[in-house]
Amino acid sequence: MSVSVMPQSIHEQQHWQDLPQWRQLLYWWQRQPAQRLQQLYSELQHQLRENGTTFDPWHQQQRQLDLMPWLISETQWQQLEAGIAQRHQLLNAILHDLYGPQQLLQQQVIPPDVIFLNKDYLLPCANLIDTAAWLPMLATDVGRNSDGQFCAYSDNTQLPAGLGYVLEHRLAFNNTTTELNSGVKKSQLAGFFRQLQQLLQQGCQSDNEHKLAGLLTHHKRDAAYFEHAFLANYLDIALVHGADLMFKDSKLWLKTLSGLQPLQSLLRYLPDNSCDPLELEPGSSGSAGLLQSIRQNQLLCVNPPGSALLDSGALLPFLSHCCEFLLQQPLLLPTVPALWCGNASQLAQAQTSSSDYCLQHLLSAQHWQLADLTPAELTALWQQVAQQPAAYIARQLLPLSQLPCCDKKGELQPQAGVLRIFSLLTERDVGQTEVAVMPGALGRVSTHSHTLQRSDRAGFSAGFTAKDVWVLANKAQAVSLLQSAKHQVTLSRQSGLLPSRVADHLFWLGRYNERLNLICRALRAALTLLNNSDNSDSGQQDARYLLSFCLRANSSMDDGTEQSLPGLQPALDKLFSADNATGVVAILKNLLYNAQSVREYFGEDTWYVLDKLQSAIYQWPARPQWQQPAALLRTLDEIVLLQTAIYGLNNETMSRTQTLRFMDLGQHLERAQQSCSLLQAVFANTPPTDALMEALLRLADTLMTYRRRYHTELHPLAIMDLLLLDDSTPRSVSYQCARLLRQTEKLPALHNDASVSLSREQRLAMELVAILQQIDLQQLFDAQQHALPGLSLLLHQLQQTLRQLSDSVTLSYFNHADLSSQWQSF
Amino acid sequence: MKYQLIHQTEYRYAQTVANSYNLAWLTPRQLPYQQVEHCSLSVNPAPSLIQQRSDSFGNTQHFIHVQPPHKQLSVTSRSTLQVRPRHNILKIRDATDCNGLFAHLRQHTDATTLDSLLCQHASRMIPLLPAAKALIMPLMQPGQNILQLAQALNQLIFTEFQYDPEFSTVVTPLSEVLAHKRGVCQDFAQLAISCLRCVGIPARYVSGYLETRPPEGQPRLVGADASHAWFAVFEPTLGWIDFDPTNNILADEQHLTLAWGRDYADVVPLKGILHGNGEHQLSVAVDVVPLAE
Repeated sequence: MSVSVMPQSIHEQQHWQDLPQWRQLLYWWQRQPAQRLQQLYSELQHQLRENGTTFDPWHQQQRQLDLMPWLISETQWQQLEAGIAQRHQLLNAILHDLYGPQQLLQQQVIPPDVIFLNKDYLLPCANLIDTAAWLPMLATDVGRNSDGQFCAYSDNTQLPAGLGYVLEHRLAFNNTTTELNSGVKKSQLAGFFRQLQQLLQQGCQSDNEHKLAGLLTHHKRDAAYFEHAFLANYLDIALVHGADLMFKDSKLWLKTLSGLQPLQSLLRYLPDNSCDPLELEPGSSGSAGLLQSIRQNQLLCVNPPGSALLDSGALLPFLSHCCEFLLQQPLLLPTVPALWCGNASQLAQAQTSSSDYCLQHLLSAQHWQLADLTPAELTALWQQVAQQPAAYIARQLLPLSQLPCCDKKGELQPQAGVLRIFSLLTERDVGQTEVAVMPGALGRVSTHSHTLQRSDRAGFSAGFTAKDVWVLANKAQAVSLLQSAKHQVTLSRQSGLLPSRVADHLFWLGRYNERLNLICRALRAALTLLNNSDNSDSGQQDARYLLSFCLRANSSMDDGTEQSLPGLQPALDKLFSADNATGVVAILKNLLYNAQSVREYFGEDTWYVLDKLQSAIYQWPARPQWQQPAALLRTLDEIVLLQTAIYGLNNETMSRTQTLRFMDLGQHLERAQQSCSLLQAVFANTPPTDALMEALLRLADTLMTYRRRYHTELHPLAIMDLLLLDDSTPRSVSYQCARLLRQTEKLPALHNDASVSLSREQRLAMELVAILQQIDLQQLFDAQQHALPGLSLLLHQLQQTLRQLSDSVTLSYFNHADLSSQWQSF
Repeated sequence: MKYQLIHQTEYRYAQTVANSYNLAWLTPRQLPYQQVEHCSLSVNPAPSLIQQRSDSFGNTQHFIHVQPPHKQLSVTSRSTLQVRPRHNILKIRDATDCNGLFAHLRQHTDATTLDSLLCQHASRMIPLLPAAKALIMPLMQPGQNILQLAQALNQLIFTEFQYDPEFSTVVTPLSEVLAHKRGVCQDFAQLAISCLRCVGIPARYVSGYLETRPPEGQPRLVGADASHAWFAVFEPTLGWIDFDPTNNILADEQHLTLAWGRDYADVVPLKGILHGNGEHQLSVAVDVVPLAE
């Protein structure tokens, strides 16, 4: 194999030459036909999608995993590990000092302005931690400097992205390239994740009965969120939002369907300032009392708010002095050359050697790669700096080493690479901390070495090429601990701890899925009517009845109001316009939003189907023409089929617990509601034509049942009986209500009060069943089988009660959605 | 002067709320010129947790959690304290000028100086506005010391800005205050701080009360007093000197000090958050009653 080495750049391969593992790898590689390598490459990418941290079909740039791993020899690793461990101890000591006695400032190791100007220095976090471990987790970004040495250039403590990715990459390798993987002896990662698990389980106090831990995430459905879901699942901790938490008795509690459960630790992935709306940024999404529970030593927060000060890069110019001052040691791992512009000579140095520097503003977190700027822009920037030089840091961009990377064709090309190394710091004995470094890392490669070294998180969400990093070991490790650890974890999962928010999303997921299904079925029926009637007037009229149902299905309008029939083209336009809040796309978006919010509750296959469903609907023509229904019909068939698959999959894969119950409740409540509305649209006005009645039966999948019972004659009364009252028909309103009653009986009890024997939800479901039982259909139709006004009233009454049931479930189980209000007095 | 101080804050909600979380800075500071003889904080309904701590400025802060459902919440701070004259007016001429101040700030990093450095930069409520700089620049004279400058600023705000309780709320931005030249004590204090920080002078926000005296021959009205706010300037040898721009005076025997910070947001007398939305009404009653010694 030959890889062209860029002039003057160091190549990682130089460090690999003497490694038997590298020779082994190379030998294997060279014997593979190009086609086989291509195939392995795409399998590896597929594996990433399967593991599912990248679900987002609109996202063009997704993370790729390189087939060629990054090798680090045992001796090199030992040095690196010692350096990372020391850096973690140092940063921990720095936080203790800056949020405590401030010796670093008083003894002039760090200029006070660097800290006091910094937006990430949070006064409410002063003296927050009274144990030795302030900073339990650290992710250090490392590259090679011009001496060819590893060199740290950025610290990540606030939202250290990548922990889940590392895990995912190793799993993908394990599953794909057994022969490549198994021969090479390397350190396993599972031990590190188990340490993290233990840390979270232990919390602050070892005597806690409940060992409940959570991963605090944000509301955006981005790549980071999927990583959080993946990580929470692997670590067997609850994925929580600020709204799931509540402060009481000095602790934070998780609101679950079975009541409040005390949380003893949080893996925090919210920005520092958003963690506590009472003490930090007002109106933010965290939980009031979070800081207080840390302060009272009732919550282990990994990491506590306030740590972002380290991420800001403000301390880089002073780290080696800090190390001498706090640890009385020289820095083991070199740190990137950095300059503080508040010092006149350092500012001058930054200005003269600007080409390979990156400038950061401590107030806005803005940064500039100076080499990318025009001379005019550069002049303007230095003028801006002169206004308040103390607020700027210049950091050198490392030259970075090159390493062989496999492209899509299976060929090796050199690219620049960096490592993100994770470590944990724990208090072993009182006052004594100890660091464990993950024997592996997240490797990232790019042809553009500067972009890799950006310190913002944009680089992570935009997608990148990753490398699995193999820390070579001389001792063989027979089994992968990763798999067995995962297995153990799954066994301990408690299904009783369903957060209220999750139940809420599942309920609405059930509702939206059913709503979409019914609209698509009605649309299909309408288009079939048009197709079969050769666009006759009566065919068009019938189609308009069904379309009027579709238009109402997703609107919050009360069904009691009479509306005129819509025109065919305006109705289709409205249903398929992407901006219409009551159209099909809006329903799909809501469906996906709710599904993505509870991502960790679904299997991979469900995601595959949701993905397909999404592309089916987005392939819909922008302006569907009702005159050409055939093409539209094929798409609708596909959508309905995919949705049926979702029901089937969920029934197969979701555990039979409250999880499924809330989705089931949503689905059947929606079906009952929409069926009433559909019957209203078809029967409540003029008597329906035979074609319309047949379409209705087909839509409800009951045409065969009807024919078996009544042969070919179409009676409104008989149809009404089948679709409203017959509780053996799975699409009848009666069937839905009976099911709602059964499900409400099994909902978790909220009151300990024995005198309340029935819940409000149960009473409403019973009311529905009773209304249906009392119906005498003969009295709702006249002798000519025309519907009387009583039918409309009845359908309306059913819909009202169903709405009350939905509200009641929301109130009883999902009331976390309470908005919070804030005030300030003077 | 000896005072009895009562500060009662009451919230009424349209709907019953469970779980309200509050932070209070309602305990007067113990100072060389202010001895707090007694102080208590009572909350009704009874809080399930009330935790006291000292914040990073040394103010006493309370965390209050009220758990049971309630429609009304009242927090009352009662204290008895003795305020002594500070005689700061006599010290003004001894102050250093800007150059002396800056030299000190460059060379010293003791705890007191660090405190002042924290109050030299923009903060959440106090941006460093060009309009604020434009306000203070014409006041700067050769040979003038920093306290004389502060005094001139105190007077300028008093004469050019109109006291108007209808104009601003606790969240009115400083730029609005500057644009309309009106506001209340809190606005004036924060404006003065912005001006001083614009030229590099450390200045901090002081939250407290002012004893108001009824017109001759009339009785004191109960609850007629209010919270007050002013600013303080750091002088290396004299320490922090307090100015009251609302009244164009130096803070003295009539000023009762609660807490200080970078701005109002650091020392809000009482702020809270509750689960459950809906309207709430806020009423505050303050009594500063002079006691016979």
